[in-house]
Amino acid sequence: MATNTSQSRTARYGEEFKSFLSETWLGYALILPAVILLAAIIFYPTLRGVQMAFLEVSLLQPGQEELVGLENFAEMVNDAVFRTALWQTVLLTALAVSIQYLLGMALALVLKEKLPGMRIFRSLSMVSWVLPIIVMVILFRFMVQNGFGPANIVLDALGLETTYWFGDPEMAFPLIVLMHVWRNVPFYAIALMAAMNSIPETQYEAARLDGAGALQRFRHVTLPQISYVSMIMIVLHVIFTFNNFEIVYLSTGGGPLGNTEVLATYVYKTAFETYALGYAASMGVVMLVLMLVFTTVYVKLEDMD
Amino acid sequence: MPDSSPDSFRRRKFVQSLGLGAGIALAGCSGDGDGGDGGGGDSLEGDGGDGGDSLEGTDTDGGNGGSGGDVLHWDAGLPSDEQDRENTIAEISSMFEERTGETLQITDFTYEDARSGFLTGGRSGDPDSIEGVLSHLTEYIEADLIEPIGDKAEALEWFDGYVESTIDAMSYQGELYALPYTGNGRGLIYRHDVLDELGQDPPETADEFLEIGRLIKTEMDITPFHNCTKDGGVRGFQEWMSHVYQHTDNLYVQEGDGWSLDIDAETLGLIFDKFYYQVWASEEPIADPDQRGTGWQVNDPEYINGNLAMIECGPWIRSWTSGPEIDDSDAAVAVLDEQSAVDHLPYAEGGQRGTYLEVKPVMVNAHSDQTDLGFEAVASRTSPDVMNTIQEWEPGEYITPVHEDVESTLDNENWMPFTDVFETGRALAKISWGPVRQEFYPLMQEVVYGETDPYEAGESLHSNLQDLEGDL
Repeated sequence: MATNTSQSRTARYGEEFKSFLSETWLGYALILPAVILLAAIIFYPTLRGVQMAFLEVSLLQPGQEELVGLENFAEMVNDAVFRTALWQTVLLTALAVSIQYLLGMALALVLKEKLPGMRIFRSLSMVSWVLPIIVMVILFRFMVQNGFGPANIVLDALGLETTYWFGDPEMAFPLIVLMHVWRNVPFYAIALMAAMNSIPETQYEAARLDGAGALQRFRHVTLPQISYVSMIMIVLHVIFTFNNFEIVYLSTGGGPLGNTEVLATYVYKTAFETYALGYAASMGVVMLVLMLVFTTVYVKLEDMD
Repeated sequence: MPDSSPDSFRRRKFVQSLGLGAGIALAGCSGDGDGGDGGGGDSLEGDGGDGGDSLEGTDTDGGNGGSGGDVLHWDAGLPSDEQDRENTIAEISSMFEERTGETLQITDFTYEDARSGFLTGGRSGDPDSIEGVLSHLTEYIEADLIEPIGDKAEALEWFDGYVESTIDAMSYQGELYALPYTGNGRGLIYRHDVLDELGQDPPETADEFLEIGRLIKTEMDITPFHNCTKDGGVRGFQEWMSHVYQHTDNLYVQEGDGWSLDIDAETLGLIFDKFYYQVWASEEPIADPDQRGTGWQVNDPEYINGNLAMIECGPWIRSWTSGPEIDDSDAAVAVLDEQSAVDHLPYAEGGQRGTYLEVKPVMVNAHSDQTDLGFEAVASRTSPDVMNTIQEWEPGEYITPVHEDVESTLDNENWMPFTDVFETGRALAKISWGPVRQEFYPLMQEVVYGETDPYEAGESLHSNLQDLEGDL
């Protein structure tokens, strides 16, 4: 009986697969080049990275590989720098994405208003997002430079402490968070504003007629209808921030005292400074798994909501 | 009419999943896909075209230069000024064409981009030749990426004119792997007007150096000293190595098939104490503690702008008198030409004069399918004729020339001691230096921030460096 059921299920899946292929072959033919391209530039390197996570392989002698099973992952458990970098990566991601979302939402509400000069303000608000990262880092480094940095000049005028803030063990990490926020808030704002603009005005009018105040209209009309865009923005930026390398590497190199070390910079140093490609790949796999789990759980929760 | 059958639903789910997966992978690969990075990708930290440790974010993001050609050469040592860079490329290409009748494509990189690109992709055969720094030479030999060029080099009519120590620096186990085109030693560059006013001679020992630094701090309105303490900064590592070379000819020496650490923990602690703890974290620091964690980006321009009395630096700084980092070009010229002088780096007890020798190699890719032409690119880049021409655009690189037929660009008596400093320089041993650097940075920063006693840091570093002996 069980065998019959299993056979019929297999047959049904076979049928479905056949119709899947036959019905829309032209469509699949059209996306084939893109799939091949993705396979070449995304899937192959990813699979190779996963494979390398189970090998001991040096950057200097990539041809000499030795299978070490789970040893690389076991090493991570005892690696204090890895644990610190993981914690700081999670903290950076959580802080940066939540602050970006809240400020992006606030900016979107402002940009949505039909006030004089708003079109110019909308364009100007995108400047930080379109700046190359290296330019942003140089700007920030200049601003917090001791003596002549504008931020320190202002602080000095107010009688407050001045220092090279990227070199301050307490302040370097908050500065990294600030750079992420400064850069990405406009992107959130534009995306959320677009979602808000697609909500029919009649819904707000209906809510007003029902006696809803501004806060209630935002809670019951605006928020539900921007949730899908919010989900996409949050998922993308969690991944971007979690994997970000340039901002930290260019501004602090992971210092001072390792206080801004994140997984991406640690993976880079492991691969290119200590040549341990296998160990670096295993950390990359951990990052990939964490992101996949986060994305799956978040998307499921959003679906249920 | 929309198809709402279960089949269609599954297909949609399948395509959605595929899209989601690809999206995650793309986002993961891009690291920060938010906004254009301006093309060529951000340049990372390199060893510095100026002999310093970095060209972070300058205009050498890779892929800037050159004419289209059959032979490909990667170079991170080209002038940063666009016009000077084009002139230099044209000069090297012209020499190559004259020697071979072929065309040479020169691509401008940062050191870090060139290094990572060559380590990961050099086996594909591109580029045919590459310029780098000494630590790269070692890595490329270890990775079997470059080939010995001794026979071809000796056939060059100008080969005998290279300074012997620079050829030694390009050699490993009796084989020559590269030709040099520039070299320098790190010296103490100081404001002689400041020291004259205080009635002081330049310091010979670390104690004299600290004493003068403290005197400057109390008597003058200028920060006495600065050295590079940025995590991961190659310049900081080179400065530390300069002091190591005052106590030993090499940090590691070859013993049989392996390498053995050739310095004791006490000396490593002494170096940390005199040049990091006393400078930054003691009760009487001679550097500005608010500048901890900074690299050459602060060190060099702050000196040029007249805000520092002493730095450890190479001769390249002499030609840096303009650009966004320089407050006043005329004042910078005055600081460098009239108010500065050079001497050997001070050394701690038990040490002697010595410094890090920077020699930049040009190498042939062993995996190129045209290694003869690759060698011709090396020969063109390092020929005295080309060096004599391009020194006009980059005089700082030719203050201490690596070839006897190249005229020194030195025209100021105060800077003459760089020639003596160059002679005390020691080249890096042919080991993989990445792991050594990674052991140095965290302990150096702990000392600089006063988190660890310098002698305890010396003990830890000694132990960690000993552990590396088998992996070098």
